[in-house]
Amino acid sequence: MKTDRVNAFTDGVIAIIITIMVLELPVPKAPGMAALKPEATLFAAYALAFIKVGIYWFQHHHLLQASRRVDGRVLLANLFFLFWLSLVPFVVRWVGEAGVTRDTVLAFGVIMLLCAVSVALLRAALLAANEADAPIRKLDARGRKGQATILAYVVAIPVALLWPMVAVAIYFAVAVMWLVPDKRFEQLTD
Amino acid sequence: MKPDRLNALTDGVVAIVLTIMVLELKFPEEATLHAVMAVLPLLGAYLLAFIYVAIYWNNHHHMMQSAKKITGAVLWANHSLLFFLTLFPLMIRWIDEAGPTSWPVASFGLVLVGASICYVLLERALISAEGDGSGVKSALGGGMKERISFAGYVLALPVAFVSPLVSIGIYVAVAILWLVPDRRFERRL
Repeated sequence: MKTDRVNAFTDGVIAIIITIMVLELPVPKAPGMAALKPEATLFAAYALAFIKVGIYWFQHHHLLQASRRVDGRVLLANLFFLFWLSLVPFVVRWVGEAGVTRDTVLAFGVIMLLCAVSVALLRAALLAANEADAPIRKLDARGRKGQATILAYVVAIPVALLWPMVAVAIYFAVAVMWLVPDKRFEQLTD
Repeated sequence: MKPDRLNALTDGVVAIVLTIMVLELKFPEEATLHAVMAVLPLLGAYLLAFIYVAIYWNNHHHMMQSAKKITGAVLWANHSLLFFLTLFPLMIRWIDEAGPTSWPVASFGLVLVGASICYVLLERALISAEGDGSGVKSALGGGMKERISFAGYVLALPVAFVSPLVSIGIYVAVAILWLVPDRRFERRL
């Protein structure tokens, strides 16, 4: 099967996930800097969630650009991935209601971990579905960046129980790691 | 990498941004002229935000017609632009709750500043992705309109604390400037 519709479906779901999050943001109740302060935390959470969903979309984009075909297993892995990603707006709302607490930071980490694991599964399914001449087969076969991400979240989850802010720092660090574009990949798919 | 999926995601996000803004609108509380007048500022803010998001989409559409190749930098620039575009519904809600007062009007300008910077970053990323023969580069030229708009928004920020209505006037004026579609790209195609 071709990749067109799985891409279109994913783009639709991710566009909705990323956009409805803004509905969770409250507006300041009074004019002035003081009224902006309580909103700043949730705004930062929104920005982080926006970047994270973007990074997952980039990964999906890269993996599918490098693939020639998909099969039933890929579709299932893709759906599994979208499920975890769709929980991101839910955590943003939770942060809005409860603030940056142990529980909300933990929940964000667990969802991020499951997103990262499901991307790894998607990657494995795509590798199995594509012939040796597809660009995906020529890429870094172990997916080091993905493995590092999973490891970072595995570390961040217990850390969140003790020091939530350290876990938040790990979440930001993982985002920074993905900021650097994968040049090798870009060359392979041009 | 080809721009197809980037365009698809952008279209999805922009379509949803435009549509969820309407959820912020309210009915007049009673069937009187006074009650209708009370919802007019919100309706005006909605209209202005709708036009701005539409302008960004139109320009994006025109520019991407010339773009043949994208890179990771293009993805990030585009994603940053989408971030600022999603803040428009929030600005509408704020104007609804606080009225066209200094803080929400200045924040509206801040969102416009952010979006316009990201749009210029997107232009540059597309040009550097394509190199010297870039279709985007030859179509864009000097970018005079971008500079005038940016100067307008930056000016409107402090002005909002003196007279929010003057700032709104600046936003409307810049929007009119862009209502004329970007002929630079149409000419090229």
